[in-house]
Amino acid sequence: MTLDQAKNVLLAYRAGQADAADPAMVEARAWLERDAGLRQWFEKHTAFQRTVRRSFQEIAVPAALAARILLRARPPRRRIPRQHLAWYAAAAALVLFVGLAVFWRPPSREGSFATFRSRMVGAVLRQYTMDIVTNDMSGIRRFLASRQAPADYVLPPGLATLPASGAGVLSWQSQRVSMVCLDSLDQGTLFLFVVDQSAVRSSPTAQPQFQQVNKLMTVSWSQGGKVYLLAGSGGRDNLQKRL
Amino acid sequence: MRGELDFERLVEDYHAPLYRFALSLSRNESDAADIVQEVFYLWAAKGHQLADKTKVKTWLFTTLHREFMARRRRLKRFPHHELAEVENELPEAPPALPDRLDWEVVSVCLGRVDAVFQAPVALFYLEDYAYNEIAEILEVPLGTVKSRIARGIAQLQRMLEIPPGGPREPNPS
Repeated sequence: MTLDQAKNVLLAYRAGQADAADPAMVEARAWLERDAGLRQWFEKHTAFQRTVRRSFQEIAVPAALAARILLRARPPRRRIPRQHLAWYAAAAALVLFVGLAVFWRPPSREGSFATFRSRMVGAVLRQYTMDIVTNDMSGIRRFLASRQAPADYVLPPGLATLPASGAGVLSWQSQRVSMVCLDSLDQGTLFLFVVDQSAVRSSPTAQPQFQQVNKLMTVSWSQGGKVYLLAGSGGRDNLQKRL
Repeated sequence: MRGELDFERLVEDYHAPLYRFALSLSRNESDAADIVQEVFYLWAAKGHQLADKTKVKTWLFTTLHREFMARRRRLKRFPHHELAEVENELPEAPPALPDRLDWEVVSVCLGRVDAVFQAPVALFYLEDYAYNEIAEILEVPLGTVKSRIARGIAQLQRMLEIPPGGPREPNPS
């Protein structure tokens, strides 16, 4: 190994790492014992490496990033063991029977906007799935339209500037609900639910109404025959600026 | 549930180093956050396929690198360079830097380094991975990784000789 070759190998030297035992590295370091010029260069190079390494390792990470990741991505649902399927089928049949019996009862608060709001927030706080993952809003609209979910929604100016991350289709009172997910770096994911106004009793007015529901702040309004519900973390001010 | 706790632990342990790697590559905070989010989304969907759970960190970094490359729609293959070719890119002496250097300065200079060297150099500085582990993450031969790290560092030294704001005062010694 020549002096220049030793220098090239020492470029990638890291103290205390497994690379130090690499045979080429051992041979290169042996050159430091016998060449003062190389030692001087290596001292400056080590200082350079220390500063650059510190710059990389001190990169600031957004405080809300972990929360945003957890809100969007969840582990897949646990598979049901085959031997339990019969029991689950029987339980599902029982639930269906009870549900049908309830269906014939006079509606109480079931179709109210308050219940709709609570259900939608609950859905994203528990475990939700995006049926389409894309930042292409046009693609999202086409997808929702193909599923007979509201696709001609109007985004407020503050939301229109945010990148989309995907969408899903939920169900409410036999109507399809569009769930559009938008990414806000400081607030995490914002969820916009859109449903036909006829599906919701006591729907909100055109004037935005704010309400804390569980861990999320929400704002709702009606426009063009549709009900809009926007939900996200952070306070009222954070949602206000999205309208 | 145990599965959810493990996932949350995974996010807690690795979202920061993954973000730093993503930012080193993309040099855009929004893109970096998007890429990291996508990596964990992919883990949630496919992570159960990983047989050796001790390799989860490597899986995450490899997936991030693949995701970054896919987003850049990288088509060109880069030729392998022998280590001897580095000497033409190496400055006479490493630039004298202050003890602390703003990431923004390093980021701009890293962006001027040949694209194929940026990922190995970033992993070299960010994580305590050995060369063979870096090679595994980047899915290139070991010799290629060593060559790219050396050339990348040499180019970075060249770029940092003249930082974006103009010549820097040498560190008094």
